Amino acid sequence: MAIDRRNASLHSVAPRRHRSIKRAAGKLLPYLAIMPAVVTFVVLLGIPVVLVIETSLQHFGLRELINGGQTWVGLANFQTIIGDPEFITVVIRTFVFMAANVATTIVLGTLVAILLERLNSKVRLLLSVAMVLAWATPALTGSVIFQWLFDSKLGIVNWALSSMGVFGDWLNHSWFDTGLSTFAIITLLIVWQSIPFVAFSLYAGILAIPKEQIEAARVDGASERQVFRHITLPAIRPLLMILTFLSIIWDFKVFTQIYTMLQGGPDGQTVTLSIYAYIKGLSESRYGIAAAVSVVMVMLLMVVLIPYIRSMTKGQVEQ
Amino acid sequence: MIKSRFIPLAFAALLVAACSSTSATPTAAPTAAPTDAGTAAPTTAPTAAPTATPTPGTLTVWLMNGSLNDNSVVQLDTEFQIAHPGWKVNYQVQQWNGIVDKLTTALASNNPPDVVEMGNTQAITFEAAGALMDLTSSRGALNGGTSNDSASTDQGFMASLNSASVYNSKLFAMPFYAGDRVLIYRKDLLTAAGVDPTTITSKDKLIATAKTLQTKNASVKDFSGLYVAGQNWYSLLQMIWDRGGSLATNTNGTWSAQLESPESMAGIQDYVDYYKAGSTGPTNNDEMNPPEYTLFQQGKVGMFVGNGWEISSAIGTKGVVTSADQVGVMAIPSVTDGKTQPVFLGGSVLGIAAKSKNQAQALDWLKQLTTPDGQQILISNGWIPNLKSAASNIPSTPDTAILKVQATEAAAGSGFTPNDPRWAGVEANNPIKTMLTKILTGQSSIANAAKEADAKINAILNAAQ
Amino acid sequence: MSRRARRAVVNGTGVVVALLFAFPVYWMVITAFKGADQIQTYVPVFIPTPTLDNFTKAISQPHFTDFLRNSVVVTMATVGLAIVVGFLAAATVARTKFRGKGSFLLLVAVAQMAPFEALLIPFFLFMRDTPVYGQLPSLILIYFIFTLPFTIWSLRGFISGIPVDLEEAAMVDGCSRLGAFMRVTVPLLGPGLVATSIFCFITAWNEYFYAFVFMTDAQNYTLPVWLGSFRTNFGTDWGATMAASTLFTLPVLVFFLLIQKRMVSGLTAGAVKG
Repeated sequence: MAIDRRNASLHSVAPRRHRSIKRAAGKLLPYLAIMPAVVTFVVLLGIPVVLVIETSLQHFGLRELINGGQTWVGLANFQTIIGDPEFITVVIRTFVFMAANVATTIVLGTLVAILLERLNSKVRLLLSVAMVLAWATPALTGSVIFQWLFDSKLGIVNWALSSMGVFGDWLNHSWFDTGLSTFAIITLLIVWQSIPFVAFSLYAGILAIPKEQIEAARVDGASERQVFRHITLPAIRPLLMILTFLSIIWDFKVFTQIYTMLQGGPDGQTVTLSIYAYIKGLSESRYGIAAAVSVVMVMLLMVVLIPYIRSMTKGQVEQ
Repeated sequence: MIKSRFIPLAFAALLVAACSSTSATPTAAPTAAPTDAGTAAPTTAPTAAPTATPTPGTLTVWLMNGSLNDNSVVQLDTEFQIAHPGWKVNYQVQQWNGIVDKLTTALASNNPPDVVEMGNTQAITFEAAGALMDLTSSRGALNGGTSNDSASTDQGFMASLNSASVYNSKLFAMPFYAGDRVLIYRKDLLTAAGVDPTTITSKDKLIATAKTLQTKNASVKDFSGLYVAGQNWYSLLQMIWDRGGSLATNTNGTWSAQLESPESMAGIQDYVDYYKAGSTGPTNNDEMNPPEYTLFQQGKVGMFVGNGWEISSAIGTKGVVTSADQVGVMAIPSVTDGKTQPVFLGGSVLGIAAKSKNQAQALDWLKQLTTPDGQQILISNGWIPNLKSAASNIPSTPDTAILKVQATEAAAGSGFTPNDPRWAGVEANNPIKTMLTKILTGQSSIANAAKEADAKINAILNAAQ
Repeated sequence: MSRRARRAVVNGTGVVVALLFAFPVYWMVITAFKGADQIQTYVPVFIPTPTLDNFTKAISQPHFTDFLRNSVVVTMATVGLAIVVGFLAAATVARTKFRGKGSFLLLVAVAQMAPFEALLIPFFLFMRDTPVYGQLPSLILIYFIFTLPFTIWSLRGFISGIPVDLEEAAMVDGCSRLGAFMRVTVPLLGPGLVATSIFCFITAWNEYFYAFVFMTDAQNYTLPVWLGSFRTNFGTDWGATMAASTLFTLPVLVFFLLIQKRMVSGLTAGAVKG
């Protein structure tokens, strides 16, 4: 083989020197390999992030964006946000909403992944295609379709409930009259679009489990539930951790689906942090305030995710 | 940057060399190094160079999607080139979705477009920020009248478009065009009910007609004689103005929301009266959810207050309303018999970028729209033109029937939202919509709901800037 | 329950779940074939008298082919960049020990948290004076930054899932460390690469705001801007929007169908290893 021959020739010419170069290269190689990613994060992402932090400490509006001349205001933007009596409600609401979405997505996503593995190839392809389509639907289009489905007069859901004849007349029933039911529809929409990714990833993870291991357990008389708990679950746990981590981040930041549905209504009951940043900051071109909300959002996320990051990186380092 | 460009390439080469027999690996993909994207522009965008750096002699004009048809653009272009030999006009049509962000970055960039169109409720943000050129001294040249208070004369710009263009007593934009709401009704149903539309001259008569239609069409499921959505706050504004109320007043820089004033509350009561006359509209959604013109097209609505553009959508090929003969349009009656309701003028204004390098030419381009020809272009696109003189003299043709009704209403009286950049924050999560829902569902009295909404509006409008 | 009955129940459930996922998409597609007066009705129209008007209208928008070409270029470049750079980092993190690995992973985690919606203005400040502003490479760069943290996480997970002993066995056969990795582990990564690239593809393909705000010339827009062009302040052409959305979703499906074969090849390879 090519390498062997080349290695052999190198060895014969200067064995010692080569070995030391190889060792040095071996030490350097990891750094060379992560270099592009590090540069991307530190420079390309780092500069905008520093700019956000800087902006959050400034009085920075459209005028300043166009003509410069922004002034430092210290923590005034943060004081404005935290001084807003609405703010703490919004934070709590964001966490509750995020938790509900993440839990629903992960649980259902796992179930779908298990289902995928057991289907015959035709049904599996059918389900895969359906999920890819749901995943690929543009967020705005998806939001509009869901709005239509749940429309009080022209929605299919009310029509179907009425046509069944069992539940009475649902014409003019509104699904958006309380914050809770509006959130339920938004959750349905988000979960519909997030399950495919989670399910595909977990399915790929399940496939990596050696079949013999499962067969052996079954031969030993393990029930399906036991197989799942003692073989499947431990195998996909690292993947579940990462997926939960990612879902937490995504669902914490959701904007389009919520704002398209009812602009944070009814009565501001579906205003989450990202909607809040838009209403209080961006809609009035108050970039300082908007930046401060973003900084707070990331800090809150970090607080939640530190245990996660720790266990993920720790497991990795020990490996 | 330069360093990192070579590292992955070198590494990829290493990989290939290290184990040369397997070739079908993802790392061998032909894509170049990561940061190449930042520096190697020409390969992917061959067409972009000319407009990114406008050479002298090209005027860049941004118009919004749906403002002018192609023929009008060609006409303006030809006229401009005759007057400015050698100049070219680069038109770019912009989308409404995200336009404020787009204008923000464009006007802050080093090569901004020369002429930009923006919605009249968006303009104040850019005027207040110094993003637009001061046109005060050109008001006369633009046929815009002689003073900022153009309400008092019959010359100059349409009053409420004018207020959207003025900030701190200076003119920062030129009114472009306007549209407003009219009463759209089913001719055939009114005839069947024996109602002559010309007799609907007041609120009371409109409500009486709504009830008559309701009774006559009781067999149609979910029918509304007069359809009112629960949260049509533009329509509410007009009723408030009709009673002499207003949204907010400004004294010495401090805003005071006025929904709880007796006049405004009378307007809110009118809205409730209209809604209670038999509307099946949702209490917690606006006129677009479900779209009122769709309900009308499907025969569930006798009359509704809608925009001019909704009429074409209200006529379909199947269903109940399939012919323009079934649809009539009239001015929205006032509470006072014989008068019409003041209207909210939606529309656009045009500004010249403060950083534009072609301001003189841009101004000439704007002037084209206030000549008699320019006014005709706006009319042919179905808009109320920007000048009062033209708006009150729209020629009578079959095509302009609706426009004439709209212009008549606008001439009789129009209003606008408070002219402050912070108003956008009110609309971003509108407390007026919430107020309407609370009143219509009986959760709150008019007085309490109005007070609550006022408090929210005051907090936003008086926030430190 | 007999084995066959159980299998029927499982497959039946699969079909039902597929229908649930597909229904909103079905509604989008069916709406694309409807005339304006059938789109929202009291009694829903499940099978319309089909019309192609909406599609004709969608495709005949000015600059459509430019948008399409730009979208393909931007998306492919993003996927390629993210996978190459992400793979290098992920493989390193999963397979080697080096000082600072923990810090690097922390950096990736923090990068994943960056709120991109809120970075619009900072990215603008950062780029407005560079030659890429208004050009496609600026979009490629931004989407690459968007997707890289995820790509690293995801690929790292998949690579760690493949036992190292397989590589060690290959090294005994005389291959170098890298050679063993390339020959043994990489071919098993099929499913992981598929899942990861679909994610990158969809992210870049669907992004609207940066595409609309950062591109100054209509010829440089991507397809999401075309999707939005049927919405105006004077009403939205829903038929055309849905037709455009349908066409817009197709390439993702094609991309998936093409690369899911790799997923299968990855599977068989994986089965051999067990």
